[in-house]
Amino acid sequence: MNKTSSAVTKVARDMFVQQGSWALGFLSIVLLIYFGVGIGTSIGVNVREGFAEEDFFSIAYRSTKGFMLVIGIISAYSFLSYYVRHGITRKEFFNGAALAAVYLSLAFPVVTALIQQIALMFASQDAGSTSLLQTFDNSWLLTLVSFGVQILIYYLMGWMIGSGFYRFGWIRGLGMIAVALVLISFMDALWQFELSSIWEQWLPVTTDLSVTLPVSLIGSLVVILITLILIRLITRRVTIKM
Amino acid sequence: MNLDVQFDRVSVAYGGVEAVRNVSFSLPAGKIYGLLGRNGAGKTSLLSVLASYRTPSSGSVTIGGEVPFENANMMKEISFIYDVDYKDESDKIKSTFESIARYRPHFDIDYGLELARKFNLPLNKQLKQLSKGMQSAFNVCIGLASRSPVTILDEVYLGMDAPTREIFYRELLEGQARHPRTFILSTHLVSEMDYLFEEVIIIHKGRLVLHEDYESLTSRGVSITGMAAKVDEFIRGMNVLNVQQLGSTKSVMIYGELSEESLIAARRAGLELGPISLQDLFIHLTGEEYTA
Repeated sequence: MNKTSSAVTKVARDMFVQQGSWALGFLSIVLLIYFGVGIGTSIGVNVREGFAEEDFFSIAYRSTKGFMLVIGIISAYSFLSYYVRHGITRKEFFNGAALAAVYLSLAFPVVTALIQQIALMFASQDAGSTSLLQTFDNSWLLTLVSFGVQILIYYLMGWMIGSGFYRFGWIRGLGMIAVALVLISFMDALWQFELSSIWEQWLPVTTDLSVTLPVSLIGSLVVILITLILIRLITRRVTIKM
Repeated sequence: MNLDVQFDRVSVAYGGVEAVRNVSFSLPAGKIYGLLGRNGAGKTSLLSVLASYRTPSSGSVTIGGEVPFENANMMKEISFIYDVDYKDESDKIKSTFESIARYRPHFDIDYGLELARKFNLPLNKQLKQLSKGMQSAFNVCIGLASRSPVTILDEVYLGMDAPTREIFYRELLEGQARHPRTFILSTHLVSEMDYLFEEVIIIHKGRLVLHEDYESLTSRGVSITGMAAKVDEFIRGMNVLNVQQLGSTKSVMIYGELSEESLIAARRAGLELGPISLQDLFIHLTGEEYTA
């Protein structure tokens, strides 16, 4: 009889189904690009150095972050208005959308890995040559956890930026992008990726230091919690756009 | 569940503009209310507070004594229907009803589809393919089929043609008879909707002008019809709202009640007396400051 939780469950399920269908569409496009590159190289088209050797999983791994950022922004805009219009409170929406983001971040790596396995049946590449897997000590579990945590954080960043623009408009909304950049670079330092170099410029640390997995996970959890708290604070009493 | 709506000294300000100023009134549950105001009078701002779309800058809105804002039990009982834009919506009517019904406890999908058919809405098209008027009619379908105890219809007739609006008014009254609830209809199309209202609230420039039941409101003035010369003589010194003349017959709307002697004099002069129209009263009460 707990109606609050049932509304949250419905929002979570509905958003997961909707965003999951977008995710499948996105993965099909990535798959097409992957096959396109494969066919392109086999008929002698010049493909950027290194790109042709990449497997499906690596391409998806990198491009999914952008995808999650975008649907996070959409979550702040159209979904919030939609649900409040149909009698859902901001709090119920927040909880439901956060759950949906977690579901999506769990499902995405698993589905991507499955497609990878299927794709490999048709591709000439050797499963062992997956460069990405090598950076994670050839552990699929570690790779998938890292993938899931990172795309969850990118989704939350999009949601936070979108919420900032939704509530504050353009000028102050840009401030949320700055906050997001700081948080993302912190996360990337934890997982040692692209933006980690920002830290090297500002702080007397080198990202060469090897961050252990528990530190990465706890640090990511902190980033996730900070972001969720910010989103909730921004949207707690936000005026709904008509 | 007591669902009487109470606005208590509500003000709404944003961007340095005070859209609603210190408005108080109460709406006992189960009636059809007309909220009248000119463009920019603050109708939507006022209603968006009731719908929990925003918080008031000061004052409070309560339903049955409870603040509806972020109240999960209340918000699902309040429907706020306005000119929603479906330009990016690829779902069709039925699946949209089904999605909404998951969140609206009283939503009647069959009734919604029946309404859609009455409005001649194409069930096989995507919402974005519907014309402006059809999208308005679709919003009305959601509003009526939701059967929310508090249903706010904010200028929902926009883009609907006259026959469609007639269907809307008829369905509204029939729906109200079968499932009584509180309807708040905001409009400036006063003349064709006035018969729907049990009570009328008029706001002007963010302030409450009046809140009265329809009957006593229309008895606030008198229409006088008869030979032009006799009418002119009779109305001397009175507050005239509107004059219409056809040949030698003249019809004049007067604001204010007539005294016993005036009534006798009018009858003696062969003048016909009738109720005033809400439209004329509305224009009178909200138009005077517009001359500038």
